[in-house]
Amino acid sequence: MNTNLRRILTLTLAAPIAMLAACGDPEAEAEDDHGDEQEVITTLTLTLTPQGGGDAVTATFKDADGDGGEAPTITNPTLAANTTYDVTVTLLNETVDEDDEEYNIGNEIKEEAEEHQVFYTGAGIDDGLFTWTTTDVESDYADNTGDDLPVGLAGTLATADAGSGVLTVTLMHQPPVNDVAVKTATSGLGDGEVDVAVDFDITVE
Amino acid sequence: MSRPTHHLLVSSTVTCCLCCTPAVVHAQETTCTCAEPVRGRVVERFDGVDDAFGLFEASVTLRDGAGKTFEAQTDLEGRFAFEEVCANDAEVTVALERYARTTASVSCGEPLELVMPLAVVEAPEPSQTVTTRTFEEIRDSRTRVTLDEKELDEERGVPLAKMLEKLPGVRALETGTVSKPMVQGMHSNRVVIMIDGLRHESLSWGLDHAPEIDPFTAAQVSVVKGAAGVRYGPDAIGGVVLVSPRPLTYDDATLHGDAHLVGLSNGRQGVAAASLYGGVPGVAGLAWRVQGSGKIAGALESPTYVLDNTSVRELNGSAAVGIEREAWGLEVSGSRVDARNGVFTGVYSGNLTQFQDALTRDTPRGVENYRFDYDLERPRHEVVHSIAMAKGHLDLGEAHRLEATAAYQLNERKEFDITRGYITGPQLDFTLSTGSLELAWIGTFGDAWSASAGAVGMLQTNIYRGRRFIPNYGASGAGAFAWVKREGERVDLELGARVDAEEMTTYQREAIGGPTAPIESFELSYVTPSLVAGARWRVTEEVDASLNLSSASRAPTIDELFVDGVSQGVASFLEGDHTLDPEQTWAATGNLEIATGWFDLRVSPYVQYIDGYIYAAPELDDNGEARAKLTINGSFPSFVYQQVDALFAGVDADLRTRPYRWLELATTASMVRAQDLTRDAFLVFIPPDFIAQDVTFKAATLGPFDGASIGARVAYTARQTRVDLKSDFAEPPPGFLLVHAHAGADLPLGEQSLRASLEVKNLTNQRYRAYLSRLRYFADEPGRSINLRLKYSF
Repeated sequence: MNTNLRRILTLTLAAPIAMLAACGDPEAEAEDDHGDEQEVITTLTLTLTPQGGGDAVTATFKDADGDGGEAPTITNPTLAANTTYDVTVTLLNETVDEDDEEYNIGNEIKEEAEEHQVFYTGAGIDDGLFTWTTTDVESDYADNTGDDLPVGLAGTLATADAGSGVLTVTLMHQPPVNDVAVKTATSGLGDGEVDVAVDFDITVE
Repeated sequence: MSRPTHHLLVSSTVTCCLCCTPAVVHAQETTCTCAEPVRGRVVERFDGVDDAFGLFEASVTLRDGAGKTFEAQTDLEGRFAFEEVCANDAEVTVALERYARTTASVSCGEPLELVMPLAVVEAPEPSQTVTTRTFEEIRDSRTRVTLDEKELDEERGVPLAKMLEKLPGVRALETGTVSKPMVQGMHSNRVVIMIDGLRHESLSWGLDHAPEIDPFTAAQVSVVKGAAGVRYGPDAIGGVVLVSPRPLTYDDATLHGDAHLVGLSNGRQGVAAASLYGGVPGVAGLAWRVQGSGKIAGALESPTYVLDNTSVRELNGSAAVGIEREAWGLEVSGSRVDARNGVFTGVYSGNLTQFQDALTRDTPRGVENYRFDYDLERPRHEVVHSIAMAKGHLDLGEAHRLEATAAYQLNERKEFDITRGYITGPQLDFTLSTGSLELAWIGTFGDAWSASAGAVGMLQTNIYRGRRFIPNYGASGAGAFAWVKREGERVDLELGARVDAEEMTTYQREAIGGPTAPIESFELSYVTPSLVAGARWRVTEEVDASLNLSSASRAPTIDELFVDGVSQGVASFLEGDHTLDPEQTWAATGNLEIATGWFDLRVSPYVQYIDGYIYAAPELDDNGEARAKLTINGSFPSFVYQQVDALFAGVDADLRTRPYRWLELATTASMVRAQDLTRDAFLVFIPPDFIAQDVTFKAATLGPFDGASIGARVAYTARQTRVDLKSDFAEPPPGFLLVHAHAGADLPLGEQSLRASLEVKNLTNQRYRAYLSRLRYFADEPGRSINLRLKYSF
């Protein structure tokens, strides 16, 4: 084998190995924050404050590590019978620090209120154990163009007599398709994508 | 030392014309003016051996009586065919590296056998006739089906896996615009894809991850069916797809090239490609090739609505340069594929309730807002695949050859989901880099024996950004193989073995604990052995039979080991198992080929037992009910990767007949049966039975055109009845019949040529859903498409 050939072969064989060395360290990269251009909603909290005064009750769904890993924890609320509660909804990403701008996903949703709606359904409502009324509208949170539609991050829950039933809270993300609005006065569950779908067992005493 | 004498043999069978004087058949007609196929074989002969060995990739030029030239290349058997040429006073010239250019006359009416001596290659040293053959030139006992350049040209502009559907036993697993090849019921990590001799390394485990290959780089695509681990390494369980570019033209320094222009009406797609290749005038043994292609496609349309956001953008390029000297050669090449595919808007992205709602609907929800445009919006995938490769070979004496291949591949895949407006980047982002090195020796001993041995090494890293789905890892692998082959007068025998070992270390923060959780690391290692014993028997000149017994192995893939989360596109929660062992398959594949003058039949039955077959099965509780996993989006049925014993069996067949000079009929059929023996259940995504019939009328000349043809093809896909609804979610769609039509002609322009073809796919605009398409839960498949293809070559 002449020296030129040897040189050529050495270079071509060494080059890929060298390139490989420059391509990243999987161990070091695992410590990185992985770029975070993804959103995780880990926590949904309903804060129910009785209208006549009294302590607020919270209902929480929390999946601290996102999908997979540990199972989520649900704190189901116990409410007083024949009482109306003012309810506010909080959505958090607890995989980041509290002062991170992504911590309160609810803020992002409010900014895009025209593309989101929270729906309240479930056997508890069908059976008349409690009723829900959404009280907020899009313009409460951001500039509104077009119809000022409800959002569902605030509302009232009125309980009837004692009993227990399921309340399903569903956050639908309804971005426009081909510049045509998906969220309209008549859109509902099933239009758009499900971001959150949580069942709470509500006990009314 | 005595050397076997080699004779270059061109045997051609020319059947006499039927057209010039109808109803008269002459045995020795010397003034026929019709078009007759000229078929022949370029072979190598050894003294004292009756049979001849076909030579692959010889360039054959036919000059007919009128001075027109036609080009062809011999296939793996050394065969070539010129359709619709005038055999009168025709002359055939054959050129092949290391053999002397040889010319023979062809005349109508006589079966002609020519024996021509091999000229010795001039060399400064005392003459040595190099007789070494490459891997691919040595025939093997495996079942191999091939699409040559002409057949590929008829399908240009569509993804690779769709082009391969013309081959028996090959189907495409589709998700809208992306498709991946399925060979005999197996896909993804059970099918190895080789590009120009290099193993394609990408995230092939994803059902919607198409192989990142530009089909325009291929001058030939072969599919080897069945377990082929010894030659192609681990994972070659279902088969191997071999994409071969045009070889560098060392013996022809003139500039050549071709340009393709394709328009597809469904999706209003425009595809363009061009290639240039040649040598350097005055410099012997230097050759080069550059090539590029691009595609712009808008949303596809089903017969009744638009498949919103199924747009595509692609921009690809490749280049190669090589030196070929008498005893050695070196080729350096590079390529880049940049593809962006939109994901159909109607693919569910929510939870089980929403998915079940989609299953009950006849049209996708929100279909009234679907619109045709070229926009590529979220959700979409963007992939860039880059390859840099160097291949060299060294001939040691007359009978031995050393080959080395070193390559680096970088696969960058980004997946963009629908998110809130403030997010601009991808949600899944993987960077897979692989460096590989392969060294092989191939030797021939005497007339009949050949052997090869070699070693491979691989280093790979995967780094993810964005959503947690599979961990980072670093892996290294090494393998060694050896095989020996005896090519006899009638029977070829082959025996081989290979072992590969892989070590992988994964790094990922523990699931619980957020961004400060400790990093969990696993060290995994796998040993994947392969064996092959094969025999091929030339029963008669026309009948060829082969039997291949092989064992191959596949290590579990990173997603089977570590996935932990919701699977996009189907409402399921997937969980991996990092204690999985490799799969080991034991396969018997047979092949029977009967090739007579007017028909070609090939039947390939196979059976494969897979020990430790890995797949995601529904997780069942003690009562046999499917378990569910709860997430903030709702609950999803839980699927866990498990190992079972599986059995695959089936048969592929194709038959081509040419009852008249102007009529060609082709039938293709395939059938697969696959069973999970452990759980006594059917496996998912197994292709339903399929049969297709093509009828083509051909004319030698039609005015200024040559090789004109017009025909139709009818393809029936049966309903898949062997399903497990717990894994499949919905009833499989009914069987469907599609009708296609095609027509084409060549326009010779002296040294150049122009080929135009028009095709109508799904002529009747049939509405249908296909079991192998993941779109079937949400929407119909695309409807009619009128495709126009132009190819200019010089």
